[in-house]
Amino acid sequence: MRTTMRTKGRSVLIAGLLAGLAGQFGIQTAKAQQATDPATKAESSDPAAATPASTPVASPTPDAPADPQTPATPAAPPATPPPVDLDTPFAYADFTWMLSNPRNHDEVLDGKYFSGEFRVDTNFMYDYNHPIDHTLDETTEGERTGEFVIQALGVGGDFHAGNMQGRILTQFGAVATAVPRNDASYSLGQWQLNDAYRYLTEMWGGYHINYKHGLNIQVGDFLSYIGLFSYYSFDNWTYQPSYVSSNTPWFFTGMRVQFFPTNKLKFEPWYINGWQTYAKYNGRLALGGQILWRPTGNWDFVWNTYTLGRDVLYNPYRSRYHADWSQEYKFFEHPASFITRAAMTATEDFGCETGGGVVCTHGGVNGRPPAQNFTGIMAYQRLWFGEKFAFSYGGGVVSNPGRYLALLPPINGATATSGTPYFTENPGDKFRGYDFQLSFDYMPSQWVTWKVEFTQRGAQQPLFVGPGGVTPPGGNNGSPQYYACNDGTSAGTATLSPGLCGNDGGVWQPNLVKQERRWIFSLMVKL
Amino acid sequence: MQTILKSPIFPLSVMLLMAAAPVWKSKQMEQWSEDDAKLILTNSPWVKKVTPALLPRLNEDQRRQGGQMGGGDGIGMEAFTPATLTGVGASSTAGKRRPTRVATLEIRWESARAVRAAEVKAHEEDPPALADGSYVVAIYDVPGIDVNQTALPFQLKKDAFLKVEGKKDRRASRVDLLPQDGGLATVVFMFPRSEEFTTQDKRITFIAQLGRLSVAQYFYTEEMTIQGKLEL
Repeated sequence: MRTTMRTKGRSVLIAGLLAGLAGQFGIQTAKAQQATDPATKAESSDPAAATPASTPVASPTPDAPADPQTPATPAAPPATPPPVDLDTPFAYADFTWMLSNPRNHDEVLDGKYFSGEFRVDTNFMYDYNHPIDHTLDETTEGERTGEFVIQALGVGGDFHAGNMQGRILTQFGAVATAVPRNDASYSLGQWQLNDAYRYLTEMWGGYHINYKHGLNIQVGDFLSYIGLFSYYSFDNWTYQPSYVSSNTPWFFTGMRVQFFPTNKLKFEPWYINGWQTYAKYNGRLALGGQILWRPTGNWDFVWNTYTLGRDVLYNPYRSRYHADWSQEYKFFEHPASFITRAAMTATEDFGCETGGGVVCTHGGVNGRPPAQNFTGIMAYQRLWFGEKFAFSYGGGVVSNPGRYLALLPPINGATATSGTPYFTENPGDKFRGYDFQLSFDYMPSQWVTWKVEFTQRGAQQPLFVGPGGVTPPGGNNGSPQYYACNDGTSAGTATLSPGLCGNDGGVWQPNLVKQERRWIFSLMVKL
Repeated sequence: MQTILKSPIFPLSVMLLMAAAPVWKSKQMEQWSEDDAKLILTNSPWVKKVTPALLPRLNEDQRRQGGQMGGGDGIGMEAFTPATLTGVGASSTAGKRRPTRVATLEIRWESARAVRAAEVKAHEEDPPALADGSYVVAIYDVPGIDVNQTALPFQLKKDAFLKVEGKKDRRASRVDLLPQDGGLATVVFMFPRSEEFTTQDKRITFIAQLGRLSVAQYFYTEEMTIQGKLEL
């Protein structure tokens, strides 16, 4: 073994001893180290501050961590030097700036075998439409307006023992009804998986293999990350995601393999039941996957793909394909300036269905059936003012002929299984929309976010809940698949004909409008 | 003028000035003593001490994104105070984690003749090998590196740069890993000399990412001269 004898070894020892003494007197270690070498103090901090944003240089250890956002308070004797971790995937940089990543650095409940997690997401929404039934639709990130809502409450965490891995997280709150109702797959057959699974958002187990930078095999129900945004609002820049995220899957049920050939790259194939489904709609499972590449601490690229799933209830011949690409870029980082950090994202989605009465493109041409596809983009930018304040803005547009990814309005309690005659999702039905958000965050600590957000959404077709609401007189009548009458009873048919409900006051109509503007006030906690 | 020159103050002033001038300015390389050499290897324009920036800890979500789980270092509920929720008032120090110390690292512009000569004079064994046509910058005392990892130099190479304002960044072309005593390592970065730096470049920034350690250091070309010649 080669040995290098050098004087600087002594200087490190001296620095370490002085740092240790400084630690005993409660002085920050890094500061003490710098004091041993005045040149270091002047030279080392300067370049880091001046380093262009494209260079993956972390901020120096803070001198005065009075800010509760800062992760650690040096107050104890020094520990051993940290290893240079180039093995753990994505550990070579700090990615907490990203949309869809939580920003905390300290874990509260983290033990040898279990890393606990607790999330609360509450909101109060002021809707300029003032719907009489307080109902919000076409989103899973808010269900009611004009009242306080416990949107989601998650309790759980990660189990890890040796190479075994497992994760569970509950989803109590409004999401427990708002998300499962968009999945009709459980309706084929018995055992009501929507009831069985509705209070759990993640539940999977797996095994980690030490091959290259890691190889995991996991089975269960896991988050999808199609559409960039995290399922958990705390992790996101805005509360209301654009359609590209809100209308694409939050979770998958099945099996995935995560392979990390380097510490900057992941390949993750999926073999799953379907498109955000608990069960399998028809006779075939779906294939998909993710490629995640983070070449530097400032860039993130995600490519998600979904193929071959047959995700229409009782239509075994219609296949779904989808591609979802996202890019995130942190283009500014300067702790000393008024704007301390700036980053942006862009997401592009393309998908279609084919077979079973529809085609991907060129629908209606030369006798072809209607085209059924999805095209959407969204882009966001976020500015940080220190670590406690941030402002985010952005939005997107979508076109989805056939409406197969539109979230069915809950008219008369409608779900994906029941459907509703008031807003059909048939081949040829049009859906185009836009949205934008302006969002301000106050983050008093790394675990808490207070958010105020304005969001506006519009569609070419009446889609959003208007002042009259979407609830029949007297409440839901239990037959959302049929028209309702003005006395609240069911018309017993999904076919509109003259004289329908003639003895019941005529046919009731939900109040759907083309535009929605909302203020969202939210308190989110993530431990 | 002659009066001044004849005055005993003049030679004394010259001597004082010479004494104040750094050894690499006041002496020829051949005249350097071992102490001179050690001084150059401790504090000179070619040798810098730097406390690297340590990236913040990975949270559990980040670990899970990387296919791994568990840090085993929860800070406990004692960390919470009303300030956690509101930002008003003092935050608790109870339950907060012990700090992780980041050792001081030394950076040498290894390919400079001054450094090579000083290493010889100081009887340092096995200085890093130089590559022809390369600028060589070495970081000493790096903890936690397994020098036997064959893929590691390729990773480190991608995240090391020499930057000069107004010029394209120069990326490392090769990285060598050398073991040191005490489990530390020397990481040697080689950059192509395809275009020579000059004193017109004023300042060269060396930037390297070593896993969770970030190093950035300025080198000033005007200071790195011997007898008016830039020594890199």
